[in-house]
Amino acid sequence: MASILNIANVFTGTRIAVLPLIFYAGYKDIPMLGVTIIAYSGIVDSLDGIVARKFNCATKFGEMLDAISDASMFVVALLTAMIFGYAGIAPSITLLALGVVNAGGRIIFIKRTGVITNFRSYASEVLGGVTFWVLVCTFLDYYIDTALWLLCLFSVIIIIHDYWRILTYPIEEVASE
Amino acid sequence: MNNLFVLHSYHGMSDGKTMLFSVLLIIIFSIFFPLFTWRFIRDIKNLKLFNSSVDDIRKKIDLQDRVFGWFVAMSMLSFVLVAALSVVIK
Repeated sequence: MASILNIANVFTGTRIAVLPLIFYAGYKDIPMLGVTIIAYSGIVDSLDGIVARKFNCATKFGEMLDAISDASMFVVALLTAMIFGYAGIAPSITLLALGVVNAGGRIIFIKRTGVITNFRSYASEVLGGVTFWVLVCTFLDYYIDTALWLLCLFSVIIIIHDYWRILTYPIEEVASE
Repeated sequence: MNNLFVLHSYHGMSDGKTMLFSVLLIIIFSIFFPLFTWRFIRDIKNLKLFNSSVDDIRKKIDLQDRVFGWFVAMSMLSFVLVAALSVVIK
């Protein structure tokens, strides 16, 4: 329990705690509140790893909590934008579906290696960063449908690349890590 | 350019905020595009120097992954620049 309840995980957990505020921002039509929450989440995301190393409390649970926070932010912000008319339905649904396919690849990787580990690729890290900015664009009403469709296109390219890596990566190398 | 990047208005952001955000995106582009370009060239060079008989295969996979990642980042940032410029140069 002590390894789960540490400063880095509490820090990361606040990203999940503020998610209802995004829905509230959409419901009350306060776009700048939505932008503020997304910005807060982005800043915490880039700092929580540093905090974990600084206080020597990096855990596997923390790594998974970080990934869950990223996915939750993506789903809640995009659904809110779609429900309250900030973004088109077609690109939002397509992007959410691609997110599910992307997550499926991570599950295949866990099954292949037999180790609960988060598959990482540089392209998907870049995609994660760009997704954060596209969510900001959604609430700022900035080229939003174009941005979402372009993100769909790049997601397809990266998913194909990641699946190829997931299916061909030498398993014994991961198991020995 | 504006035909490529259709500026829909779902809830009508003010022109001032749109301009401010575009300037922010141009600043981000100016910082990150050279950074990713440098990393891309560096890792292409490393990949060319890679000796598969001596070096670890895991290292080669990592290098290929890096090169692909930096290329994707540069491509995405190019779209960011076009979008931002289409607002600034109107």
